[in-house]
Amino acid sequence: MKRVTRKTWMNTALAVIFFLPLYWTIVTSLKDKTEIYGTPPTLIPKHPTLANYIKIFTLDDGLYRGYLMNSFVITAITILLVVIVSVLAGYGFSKLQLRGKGFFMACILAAIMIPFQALLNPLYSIMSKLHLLNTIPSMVLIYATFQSPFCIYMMKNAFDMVPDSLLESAKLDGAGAFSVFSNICLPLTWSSAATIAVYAAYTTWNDYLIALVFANSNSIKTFNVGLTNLAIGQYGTDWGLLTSSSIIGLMPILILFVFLQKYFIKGMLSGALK
Amino acid sequence: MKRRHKKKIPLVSYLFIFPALILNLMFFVFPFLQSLLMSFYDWPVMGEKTFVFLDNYIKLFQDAQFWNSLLFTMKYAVFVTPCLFILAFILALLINGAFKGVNLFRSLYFAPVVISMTCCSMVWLWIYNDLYGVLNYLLQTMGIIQDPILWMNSAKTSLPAVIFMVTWKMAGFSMLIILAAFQSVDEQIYEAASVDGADKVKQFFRITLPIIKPHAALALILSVIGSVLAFEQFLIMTKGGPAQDTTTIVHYIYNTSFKYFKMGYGSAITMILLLVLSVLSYFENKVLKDPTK
Repeated sequence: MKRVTRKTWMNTALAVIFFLPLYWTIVTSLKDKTEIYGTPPTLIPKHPTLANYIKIFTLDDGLYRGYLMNSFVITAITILLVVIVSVLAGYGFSKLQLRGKGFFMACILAAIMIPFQALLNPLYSIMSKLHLLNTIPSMVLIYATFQSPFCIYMMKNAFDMVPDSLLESAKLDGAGAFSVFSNICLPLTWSSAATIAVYAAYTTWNDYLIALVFANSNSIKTFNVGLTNLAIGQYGTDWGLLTSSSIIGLMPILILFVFLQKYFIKGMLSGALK
Repeated sequence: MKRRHKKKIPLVSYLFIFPALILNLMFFVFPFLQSLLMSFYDWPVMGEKTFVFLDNYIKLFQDAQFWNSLLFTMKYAVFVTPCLFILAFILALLINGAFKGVNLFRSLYFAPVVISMTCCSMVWLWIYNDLYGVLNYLLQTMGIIQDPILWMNSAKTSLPAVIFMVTWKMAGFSMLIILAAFQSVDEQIYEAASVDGADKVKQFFRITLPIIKPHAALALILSVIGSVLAFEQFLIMTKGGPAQDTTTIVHYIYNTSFKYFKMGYGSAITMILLLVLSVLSYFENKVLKDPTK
């Protein structure tokens, strides 16, 4: 049985301070204009209203609804692509005999060292040659390229833990190459697969720079980019609107975090400790 | 024993790594090689590219704004890293152990890490608002300041303000790394030490600190790498201003390449960024490979 100690009290105080900025934003987003700009500021809204949330969804004919949808679609496709690419490659690098394996692995690992920020210009010129500028595939391909190296590394480690003897005996029982992969190895590594899916989800959802450079038209802009446009545009002083949209922008990932914490932490830690 | 003749590898095996290799080749290896090439060109987004060899680099060394942004980025990294580390260290100390609520506290400290920098910047921009921001209100009520501070109007106040925000956002990440180190220490060492008469303070400095040193070094390097790549926190909170005083190096690359469309010159700046990053990566690998140092 864990005890309530002095540490519990110290942590409680600190945790409250830690949570205050988010609390303040949520509270502001639920207030009306007069209360937001009135003094003294109120810690609990006197007349809570969802008007700011309704406003962001109906603004400019639902422009921001579209941005939110784009973010969801782009994130979903990226997760799918990253998981498929990384699980396959992780298995290949771990369990299959391939010529030039070391060299290929080195190429992929090099991409962990060099962040996409350092390759924006050539990526832009390549996407322009491929006529992919300003399309969802351009963003998804870049996300997948720069997320998969770490995910491949992680999946390779997971497949390495599956004993070879298990594979051999399955082969003796007449299982084909793909069936060994999908029926024997995959079920044993699903926790790592979940970790990379979560990693792809928050990396993609939280990205700003790629979306800023590669999505110019309203039909494919992401919510994060829309959010900053809101801040520098005509609504730049409408803090009810700005706080409600910030909350909408951070909520999906925060909810995911509440339910899948273990995978967030596993992904972050193995990313750092490698 | 396992010596076989050159066994033919079934083609299907290559299919497993094929998608990863294609992505890597097209959008990593190829752009990496091209970025070197681009930096030797006058490369507008539209129109003719002309080979100018080292012109971009010569221009770079005379470009005051480039040096300003490089220096500013370093200044930011130098100030934010210790702040982050100290808070992370305190948090790791506080949640090391078994007591009621430990998991909840760990999640709360870590939660800001998973939120996007974009949203965090917005959250704090509201707190720092000069007229209606809650920070100015609190400071004025407590009598610490007379008039509201215009936080984002000068680098003198905006840099500490951004650093404070990033410290809040990222401390949970370093905390996890340091906590992992704390928990890797064998309890028996402490027991042996107390039998030998070492008190808690002595145990901390003689046992805990040396053991967590590699993890601490890693946390520091990762935070430096993160700071060198800083972009949206300044773009959103200060817009790089006033007078480009708070423009980071990635922000400058973005402006040069995608606002003024000088892709070649932008690539030359990127090369300098790559150089800085490779030095940092070198140290990161050194820390990762040799856990005894």
